[in-house]
Amino acid sequence: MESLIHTTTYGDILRLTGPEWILVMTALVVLAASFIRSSSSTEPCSTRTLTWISLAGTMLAGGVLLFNQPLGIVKGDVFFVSEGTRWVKLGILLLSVLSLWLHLGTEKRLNHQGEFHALLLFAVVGMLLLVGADHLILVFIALELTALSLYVLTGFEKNKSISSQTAYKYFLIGSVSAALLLYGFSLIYGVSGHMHLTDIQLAIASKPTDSLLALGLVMALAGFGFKIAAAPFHMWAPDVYQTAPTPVSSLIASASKVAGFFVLGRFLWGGFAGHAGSIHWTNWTTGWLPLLGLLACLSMLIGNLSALKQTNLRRLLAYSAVAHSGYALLGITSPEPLGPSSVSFYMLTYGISIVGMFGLLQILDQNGGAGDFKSLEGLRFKSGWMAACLMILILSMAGIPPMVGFLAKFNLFIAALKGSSQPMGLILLVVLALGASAVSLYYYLKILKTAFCTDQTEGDHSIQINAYQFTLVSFTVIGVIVLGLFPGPILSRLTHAIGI
Amino acid sequence: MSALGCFLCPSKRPDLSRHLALFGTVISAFVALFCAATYTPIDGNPVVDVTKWNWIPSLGISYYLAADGISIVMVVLTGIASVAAVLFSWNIEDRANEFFGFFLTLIGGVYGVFISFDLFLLFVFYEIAIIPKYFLIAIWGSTKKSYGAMKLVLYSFVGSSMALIGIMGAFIVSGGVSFDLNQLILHPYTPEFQQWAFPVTFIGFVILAGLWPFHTWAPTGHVAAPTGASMLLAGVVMKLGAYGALRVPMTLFPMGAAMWREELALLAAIGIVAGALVALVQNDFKFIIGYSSVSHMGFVLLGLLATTETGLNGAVLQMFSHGILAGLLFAVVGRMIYSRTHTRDINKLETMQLGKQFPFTATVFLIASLASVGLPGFSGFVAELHIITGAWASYSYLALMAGTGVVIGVAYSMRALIRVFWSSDFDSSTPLQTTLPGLTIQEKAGATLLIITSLVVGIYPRLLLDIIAPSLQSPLLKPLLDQGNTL
Repeated sequence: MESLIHTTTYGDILRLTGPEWILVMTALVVLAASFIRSSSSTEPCSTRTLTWISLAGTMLAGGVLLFNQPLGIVKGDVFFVSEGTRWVKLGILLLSVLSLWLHLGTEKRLNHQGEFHALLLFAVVGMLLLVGADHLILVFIALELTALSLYVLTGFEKNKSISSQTAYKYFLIGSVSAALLLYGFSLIYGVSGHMHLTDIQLAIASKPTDSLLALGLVMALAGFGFKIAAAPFHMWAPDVYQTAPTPVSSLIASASKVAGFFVLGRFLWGGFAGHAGSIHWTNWTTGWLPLLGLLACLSMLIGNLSALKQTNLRRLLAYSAVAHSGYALLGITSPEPLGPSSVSFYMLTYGISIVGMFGLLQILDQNGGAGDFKSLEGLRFKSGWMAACLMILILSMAGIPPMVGFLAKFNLFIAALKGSSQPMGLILLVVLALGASAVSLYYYLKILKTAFCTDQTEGDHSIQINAYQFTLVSFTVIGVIVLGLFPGPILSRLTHAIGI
Repeated sequence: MSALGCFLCPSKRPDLSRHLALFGTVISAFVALFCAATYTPIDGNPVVDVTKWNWIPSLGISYYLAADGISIVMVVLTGIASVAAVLFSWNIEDRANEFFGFFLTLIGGVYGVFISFDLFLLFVFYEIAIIPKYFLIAIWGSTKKSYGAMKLVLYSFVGSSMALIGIMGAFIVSGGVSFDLNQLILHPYTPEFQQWAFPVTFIGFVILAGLWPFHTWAPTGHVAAPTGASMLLAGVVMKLGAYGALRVPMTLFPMGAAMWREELALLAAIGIVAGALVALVQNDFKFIIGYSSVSHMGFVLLGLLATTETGLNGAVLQMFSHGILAGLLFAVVGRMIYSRTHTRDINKLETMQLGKQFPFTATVFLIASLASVGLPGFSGFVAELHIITGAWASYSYLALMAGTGVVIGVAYSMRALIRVFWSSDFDSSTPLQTTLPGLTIQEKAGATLLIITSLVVGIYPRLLLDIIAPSLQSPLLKPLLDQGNTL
């Protein structure tokens, strides 16, 4: 890494955080633009313009990241840019672009569009910072930047009481978890005397796990668990998925998860690798790995079993997302480079398919569906294209080849089995995960059955799909298939980049 | 051989989907036959490579298609059975394009499994074959179709998950370098590992082959499925399980096989007898055939678990034979009878004088059931003879059980045959009460194709045995047979 920058000047910091700055500026521009528009004309037609501006900004940030991003560490090791973070950030930006594109397709008009876009962009900035954070304070700030923006966005439809209620619930649970996280961080600081992950690692490597440190870790894990919607910290997810504006749910479900998982992996392996413990089935020692295993088990079981009984599609997706977090936690048990790369790949591909699903749900909503199973009935006859897309996305989430969901999950299991100190140590967790997948296949097939196996009814009218929605869903479907058939290049690049 | 790859991804069929589907299956069947005809082991190694391409290098996964004698036989079976199944699906009017789309995806998956020598790829194809079955049954099926479909898919999925555990285990323990079967076989797996990996993987695969007591998906699934699909299900999909069991756990974990084979062979033998006994008391014509499939697949598994050359030869032959005959039986029941009479209750069928109305059907069923109970001259006889001989060497009491199974098999076949077709003939003075539509040319063609195949193999089994036998000498199966011979 000869081109590595060790910053001394503000100029260098600016260069390292280029994409983040671009997004912040875009957010401000959007905010300003919304005021200009509303004073010159009374038409609320500026929504799409605002979205286009935001999209342009996000893509520009992505371009900078892809072509002109120096690698380096901000002085004091607060923030760093490496090959690995670059790729993960690109993924986050891609998912953000898709979520914004979803907003282009929205026909429902909301007030305060300027704020909406600005907050959305700020949330993305938070996620990007989170990925590069190497310092507990920055981790916390970035998490809060994302979370606070998302709280507001969730409750954006102020006139609906359910919306405010959900946002309030989200905020309450979120702030409690933030408090836990902060308290955990402070305990960790108290024990180790450091705020940098690498320093913490050095400081506590030789010490035995004492109870204060353990308490700090438990609390921090609880805080992160909220972020990635792992059971038992998932209570907010179904409500938020159901009531938040679709682009916001989609952002929460995809990009914010990617960032959350990446930073969790870094936090645990970067700071506390020596205190991992072991969950080998014959050799169980204390540490954070057993905790992680517990979270994974609970998420897979609670998520899948609760999803069985859901009738609302968004709630079902939320519970299935909890289960997916459980699978991804398996990957976290494996150190670099296999663990983070498989988890990132998994969350990215899962993000793509979930954004596509939200696109389909948005189409259904706009055609008068209530978002439950009933709105899917006869979909095969109303729109063959939608039904086919639904099938591919659902099968990908269920982990059926040749869609990418299978490969990502497989890769995750391999990482979990290979990564732990003794090979095959996590076999019981993997067995549980496979069993849980069988349970999930039941409700996924139930969705497809409703769409495909109901008879044609009289009075069905065809479904209106606008061009934005069509391109979005098609893009995700193609992505899911192409990545499934040719995952080689991306997978090895990701593994390589994170390995550096 | 690589031409088969072209059929792995069928495009959505337009209105002429039937002809396209027929065309596709016929072409691939010809390709399969051609391959069988030209198949010669290269340099004494019976595994002939087709394509090899580094698919996902970071995981050691390659797109590696190859074939040995066993694969070739199975591929030929798939070719013939799929052509016949398309012919017997000619009456699908409702959403025909989707039907044949799923249908061809299923067949593509099946072909893929039979010619994959990369375990990851094999598993991918195995899974690809699962999902279309759900839709084929849930959309176009009959009797409790969504229950049958869901049960079948969940059973298959749980089975394949177990198989996946074994495959991942083999990959990790061998160092996590490659999924290539030829590479994996080189790793000496410890007996402790084989002891648990073998039963998990084996049972995972044979759930799909209907091993008792994991067979309950099979009758319900077969009964619920439309004719073409049940022909494929019984004809080739159940073979996937048995083939997978031979190709993966038995090849990789021969010591595990030696440890567990007696228990598992007992299950197989119980399956033979239990399936036959249950078939004896069923009143639904299709359930009779469904349970008879369980019984016949028990023979396949018994042959495999005999782990002798004769046994394996017999198992592969029986897979082929049962694939053809089960297809034929389901075709008779589902298409020739049910779609005309709209009942499968043999008490009702008794009154319909079907023997007079459909002499061709009656003849076909007579031939098929005789062949499947092992009349010399048909494929079933050669296969079951091999299996029983092979099993005799390993465990004589199980061979006796299997023999009993054959006898019961005669009983249920004759019972069905006589009651359905000829019981009302005794009162020949009654005129025909109802006239039902006659047979179509496609049905006759399909039935003839299957009967001829069975006859050819029955009269001249060396046609297949010559292909199978050298493969048993390959380095892949040698450790297994060594284990078998030491006993």
